[in-house]
Amino acid sequence: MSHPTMLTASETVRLVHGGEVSVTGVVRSLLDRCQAHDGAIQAWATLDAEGALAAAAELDRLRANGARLPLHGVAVAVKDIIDVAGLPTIAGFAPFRERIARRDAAIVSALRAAGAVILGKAHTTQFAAGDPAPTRNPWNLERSPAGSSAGSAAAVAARMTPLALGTQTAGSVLRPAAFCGVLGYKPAYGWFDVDGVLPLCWSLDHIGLYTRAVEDMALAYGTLGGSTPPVTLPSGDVSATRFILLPEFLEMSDSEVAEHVAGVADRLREAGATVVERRLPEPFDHVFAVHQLIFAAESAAVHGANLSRYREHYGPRLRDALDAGTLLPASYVLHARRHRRRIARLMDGFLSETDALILPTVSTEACDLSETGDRRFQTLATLLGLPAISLPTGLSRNGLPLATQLIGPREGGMRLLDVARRVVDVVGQIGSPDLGD
Amino acid sequence: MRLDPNYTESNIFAELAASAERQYGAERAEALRGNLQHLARMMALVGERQLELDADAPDTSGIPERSEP
Repeated sequence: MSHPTMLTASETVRLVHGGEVSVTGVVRSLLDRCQAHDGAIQAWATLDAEGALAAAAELDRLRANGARLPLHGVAVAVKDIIDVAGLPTIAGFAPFRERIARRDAAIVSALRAAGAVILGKAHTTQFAAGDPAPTRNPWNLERSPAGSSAGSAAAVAARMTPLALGTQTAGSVLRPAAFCGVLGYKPAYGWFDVDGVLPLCWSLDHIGLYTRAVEDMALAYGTLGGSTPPVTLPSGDVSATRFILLPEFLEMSDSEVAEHVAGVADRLREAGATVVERRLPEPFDHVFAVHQLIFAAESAAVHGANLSRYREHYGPRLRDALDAGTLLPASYVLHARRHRRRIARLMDGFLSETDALILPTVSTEACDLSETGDRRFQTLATLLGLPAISLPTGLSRNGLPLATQLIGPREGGMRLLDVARRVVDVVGQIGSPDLGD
Repeated sequence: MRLDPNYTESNIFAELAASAERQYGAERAEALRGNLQHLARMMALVGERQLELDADAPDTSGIPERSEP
């Protein structure tokens, strides 16, 4: 049997159900790994060893009494803008260090009810915006893990936990997944209640998930979405799958990224899938502009009062963005929102002809620590509320992860995971970074 | 500020910069120059595409009200 830190979420559940491992043993191993590596990686804002071990003991007791829960014993890192009762929700913002959550966010309650163990809170960029978090990329400590869900993605990549929660308002689930070499899934808008999650932009905020295996993503997504366990992916053949490769995103990418994703498409074709090249029905620079205006206006509105009160505590990038966003005329914001609906309708028609769009998740490999990376490519699915997943499909010449993004039709959340599984079956995925142990 | 397809990025930037100076003072407005240039570029891109009077209403979620026939 693998060491507990090597287990995926699905393997953990299977072994816990079978009585081959205890939840306490798994959690202790993961906490030991966090202790060993978090000094360098800094994935955790608050590691709750005491709470996690108490929850693990209770889950072992339930198991002994015959309970078999869908996420029985699966450890989870929770992005630090999502409330966990009894722990601070700091959000990278010093005045919130003592802001202790009185109750769990809705998604944390659902995770606990399904048998998951909350290990703690993972670092985020301040308020899930653009000032980098302290977290470093487990593949290279001098590179960025991206943002905003930096700690969540890094913790999964470093095998400190098999499952983590993130959020995305521009590219904050998908981009950290790409830079850290794990799977990141941003389901459709409204997939899960955002009660207990600090907002950044009400109409753009999504909750997302990180794992190291597609099966784990299906397990977590299905369980949290109310599917009856066991949640498994249907069997499928890639030859019956239709993809649209979006060439404009390859043209905007670094050559190594473009070659990699074009190579993924070639391998899918060789395996029998239908892959056609087609441009978006709307120029992408216009799609991005619509996102940027809505983002600027909503974030300025969300933070207006707090910014006045705590101005000196805001990071420079966020403070500048909010000050600028405050100046946006309402007519432009409303015009952008009208275009958003029009583009969403066009895209729903475009997606009806395919199982998934293929594009790079990010235009580059992981950047240096002063930035969180290029967010453009992730905003297409965010703006339109479409399900999107980032798959860690290769390594660059610098030994950093490269990723392929799939975007699916609005109502096809589990279907997109099935397509993702077919892609991974054909092109494979990278393993975990070598942390020297 | 006019929502006009002929209103250029430089027109928009000039208005944003003036607004920033009124609101925050000259020094802060200068510090925001990069953000304002980005916003002006985005506003020009969105503004150049006009919609019919009775076309789509603003959306809040990205979910279209009706599907393409």
